[in-house]
Amino acid sequence: MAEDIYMPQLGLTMTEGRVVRWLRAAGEPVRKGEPVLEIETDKVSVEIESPADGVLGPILVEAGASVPIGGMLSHVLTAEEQGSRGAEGQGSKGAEEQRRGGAEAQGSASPTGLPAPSVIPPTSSVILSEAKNLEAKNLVRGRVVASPRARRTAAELGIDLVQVEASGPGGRIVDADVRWRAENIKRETQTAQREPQAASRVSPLARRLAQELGVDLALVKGTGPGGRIVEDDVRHAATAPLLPLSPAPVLPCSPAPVPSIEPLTGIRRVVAERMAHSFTTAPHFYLSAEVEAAALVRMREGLLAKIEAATKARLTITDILLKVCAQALAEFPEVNVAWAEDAPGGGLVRHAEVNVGLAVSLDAGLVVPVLRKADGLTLGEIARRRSDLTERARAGKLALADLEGGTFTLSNLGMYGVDQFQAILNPPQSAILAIGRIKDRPVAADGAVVVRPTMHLTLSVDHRVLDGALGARFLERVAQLIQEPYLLLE
Amino acid sequence: MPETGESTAYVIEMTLGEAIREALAEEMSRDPNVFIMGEDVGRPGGIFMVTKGLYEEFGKDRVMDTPIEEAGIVGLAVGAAMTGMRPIVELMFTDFLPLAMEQLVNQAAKMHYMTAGQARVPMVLRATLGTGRGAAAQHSQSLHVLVAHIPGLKVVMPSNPYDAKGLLKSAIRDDNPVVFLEHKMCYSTVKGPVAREEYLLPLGVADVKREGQDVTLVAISRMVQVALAAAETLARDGISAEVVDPRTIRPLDKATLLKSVMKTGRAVVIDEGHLSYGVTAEIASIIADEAFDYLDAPVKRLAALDVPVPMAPVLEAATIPNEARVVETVKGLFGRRY
Amino acid sequence: MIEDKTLLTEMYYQMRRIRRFEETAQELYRRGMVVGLLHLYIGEEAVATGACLALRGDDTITSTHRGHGHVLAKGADANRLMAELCGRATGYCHGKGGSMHAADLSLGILGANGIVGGGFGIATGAALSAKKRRSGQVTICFFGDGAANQGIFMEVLNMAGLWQLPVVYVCENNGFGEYTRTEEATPASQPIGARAAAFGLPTAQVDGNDVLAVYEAVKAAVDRARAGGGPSFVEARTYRLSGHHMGDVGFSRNYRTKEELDARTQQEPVGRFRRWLLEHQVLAEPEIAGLEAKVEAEMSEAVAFVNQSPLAELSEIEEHVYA
Repeated sequence: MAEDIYMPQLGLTMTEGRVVRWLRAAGEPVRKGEPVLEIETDKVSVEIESPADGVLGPILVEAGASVPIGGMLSHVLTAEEQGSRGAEGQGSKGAEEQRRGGAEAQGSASPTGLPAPSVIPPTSSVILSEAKNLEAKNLVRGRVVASPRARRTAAELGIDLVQVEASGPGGRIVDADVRWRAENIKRETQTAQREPQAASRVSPLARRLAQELGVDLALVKGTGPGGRIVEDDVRHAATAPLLPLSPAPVLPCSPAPVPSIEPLTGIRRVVAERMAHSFTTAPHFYLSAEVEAAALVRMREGLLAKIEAATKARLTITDILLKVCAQALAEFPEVNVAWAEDAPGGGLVRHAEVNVGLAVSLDAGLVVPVLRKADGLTLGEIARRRSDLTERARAGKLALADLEGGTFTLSNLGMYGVDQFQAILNPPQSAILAIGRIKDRPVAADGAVVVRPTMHLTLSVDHRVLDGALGARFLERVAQLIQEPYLLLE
Repeated sequence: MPETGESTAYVIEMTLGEAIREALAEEMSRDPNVFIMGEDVGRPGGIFMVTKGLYEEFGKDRVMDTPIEEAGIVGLAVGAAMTGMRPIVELMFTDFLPLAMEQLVNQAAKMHYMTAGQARVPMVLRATLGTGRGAAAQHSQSLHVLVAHIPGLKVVMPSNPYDAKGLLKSAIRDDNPVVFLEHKMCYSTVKGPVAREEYLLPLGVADVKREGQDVTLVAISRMVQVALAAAETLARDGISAEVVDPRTIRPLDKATLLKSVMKTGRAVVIDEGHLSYGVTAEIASIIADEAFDYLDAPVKRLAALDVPVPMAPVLEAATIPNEARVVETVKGLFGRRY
Repeated sequence: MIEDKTLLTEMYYQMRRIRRFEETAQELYRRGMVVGLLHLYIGEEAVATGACLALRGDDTITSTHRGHGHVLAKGADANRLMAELCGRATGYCHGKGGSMHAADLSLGILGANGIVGGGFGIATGAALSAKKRRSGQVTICFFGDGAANQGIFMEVLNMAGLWQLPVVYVCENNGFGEYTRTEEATPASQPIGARAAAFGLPTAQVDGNDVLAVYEAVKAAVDRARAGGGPSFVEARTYRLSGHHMGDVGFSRNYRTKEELDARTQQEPVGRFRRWLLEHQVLAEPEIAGLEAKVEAEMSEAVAFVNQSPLAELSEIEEHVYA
């Protein structure tokens, strides 16, 4: 029976070790106690001895690679195991070649004619070698050796035995190994749900479909292998009623004076993740302008009664600003673009529609309902829709469709007395406009200092997509439309 | 007990031998058709003193000392059982079973079947088994497999006083030929609480002697004590062993065994019969067959070495399973992770 | 001298019945309807009849593999016995025992037995049981000259004599133990009875083809036992006209010649007793013919019964393993 050579635990704090060099080669006879390879941790360098007499099996981890404790490095095979032909030999050879082939071998048949294993391409070299190791080891014998109980559990939990690392006597996969793997998958799935942008977490078909349907992948739960988002998940998300944005349940309060950690849930969690992601991946570039707001205010006052009579909604400054942004976006299609995550080397998505989102602050967190095709809406329609969306947002009754497809976001914190602020881009959008409060401020006019109502605008853009000049021109137009709102009639 | 005066305690501690004697006495008092026959069972009180006092209590017609003729004795028991009596035959050692095999196997076991239910053979054959006295090859065997193989016989092997009393009473009242095997080394050394009241334990029902989660130890007769000791040791190493005592070898309580192994996923069968072609093989086979999908490791057997029992104690002890071997075997069932 | 006409009539009837039963069974065997082994009792009818008619209804007997005679003489029903031989569900043992294990516990028939000497322990145990229960029952243990060499014979003689058990050991010395002549298996210097005598049993040796002699000897032994006089031994010397079993055809086994068989056939006991009855004017020819006709009717009925009976039930295959 083959004996395992695995990365041993050499110290309390050791979590992984690195293979420095192999002292023996695969296929060489070894005796029990002979040094077979050299490994090192952050503290020590050590030789690993052969656990038995026999023949050294295929090398599963090359020099230079690191594996966690318990990771399989190779085996000592008995003469019969080494000598057996057919699937075993082919399997090991194929697996080795695939490993050496690296990325190119992925998805293609190996030189031995065996189909390449359908391994989800993991993202780190350690995980890559582990998955390959397991498969290589499990296929070396021509079949997976697992106890009946382990097989049963694997069938129940939907675990592929070829991916399970064996810890049982004689290299048998036992029940605990399958459950261990299930736990790992669960952790990976949870990780995947937090990083929906990771290439391996969304199938290409799902991504295409998400774009078509206007589904925000960040809100989609993946049910594929390893938590991958697959086509069905996107379809489901497109038709499902609102799920993740319902107000978070009341978190339990710890009565003790010791501060306790409140895990984030619901909206707040999503917002936190997205903000972090946005801020750290998109290079934010800010442009500010102070605009005179008197005309805006007069326009609002003039239209207030009429629009309220027609739509029952009270026209707000924000509504007019939404129209302004929509107009500007229609005039500047090069601002109505998004960054494409999975395009190698970077890419743009040019939106066909102008869908302006409005940042709405709820107790539970920030939501951004979207006015679709805003450039074609009248002020009255904008007011009505905005009113409906914010009402439903506050009631926790927004549908996924209300939140999807935004191409630009407007954020107005004027009602909170904020003069000026820089908004964080709402991924995958490339621009967001932050509005401050309208306040009487001293301005220079005709050589003298006068007091006029002004408003600060700050445009944040993704500098991968929009450079400063373009952003400036866009902001200039926005400012113009605000100061001369009759231009909206053009 | 007649010598020590009537105890009024509800439950008292007894040895295996005392519990068996109590069962015999109770059944003899209850049913005048019950009688005992065997070599040296009467006036001498039995070679292991199990029937001590019964001769005086019940008389020589009911506790009969027989000549040394095992075949004849057992044959007479069959005839008596077929005609209204309930004889309890004692063979000193299971090693003498072969002398009586014709009567047991061809007559007692088959009468009910061959006559399509007309004849009944409600007899009990008691015998001792096991090593430990340096009694050598012809007085130390555990040949229960020979009788366990025969349809029509029942085979009971209690491991402790409480079980012994309840099971023997049931065996005596059973209308079938029952072979009741007692470990000779346990008569005075294995003690336990026994209720001093009427109780019966059903034949064909196993008993979980110790609950556990990680491995099932199926142990027979004295090996129950060995398994329990091993379980204690294993517990210190974080392995929780469940000890199941079949109590009746045939008919075997498969349900209890299988339920335990389905829970733990691992099984070791421990017995003092020889390893090859023995009772452990039957039990292991049942487990491997009917609990297959629940097994996390192969089913292991620990039994006596396939050699005649040697006399010298150091050799004799090496032929049978002991606590250390059980512990070692159990540990070999677990992987690195669990 | 027996003068009880009823008894004498019964004797002839039983002997004739046994003979005709065996011949009928033989015929059925040849036609393939008797399944399993068949050991015929032809030529030995006087022993079974004489012995069993000396018994009470509640007395018990153990028989041998050649047991139809004992079983019928003890009162068994010819239909059910024939059906058992033919493996029918209506047989005494539902077809599960066959010829060698035929039994009727209600008639005290503790079974024919397939093991040579298999009845020794059971019969002696039944006697022990009768003594303990003070029932007054007596047990006859039928066995052959071959069985007398089994070790257990000595064992039971010892205990029977030791404990004075009410058992009569009736040895049918029919000249052969399977294919071996008796004198080639047993030293002729001592009669078989000497073994019993060695254990203190009273012994008798009679002409086994003389039903009256058998009756008298066995009756004396039975009465002795019933009175508390302990066990006895009776050797009845007879001759096995049948082969050992149905497969023993012709003279292929080389244990006897045709001349011997023919000579011995002249001395067969049924015809002999028939002649005696006529000679002593116990019965007239028409009465005898009437008995014989009754026997024929019984045999016809048995054959018809077999033909109407279903085969042994498959559903019973696991029944009766345990009580």
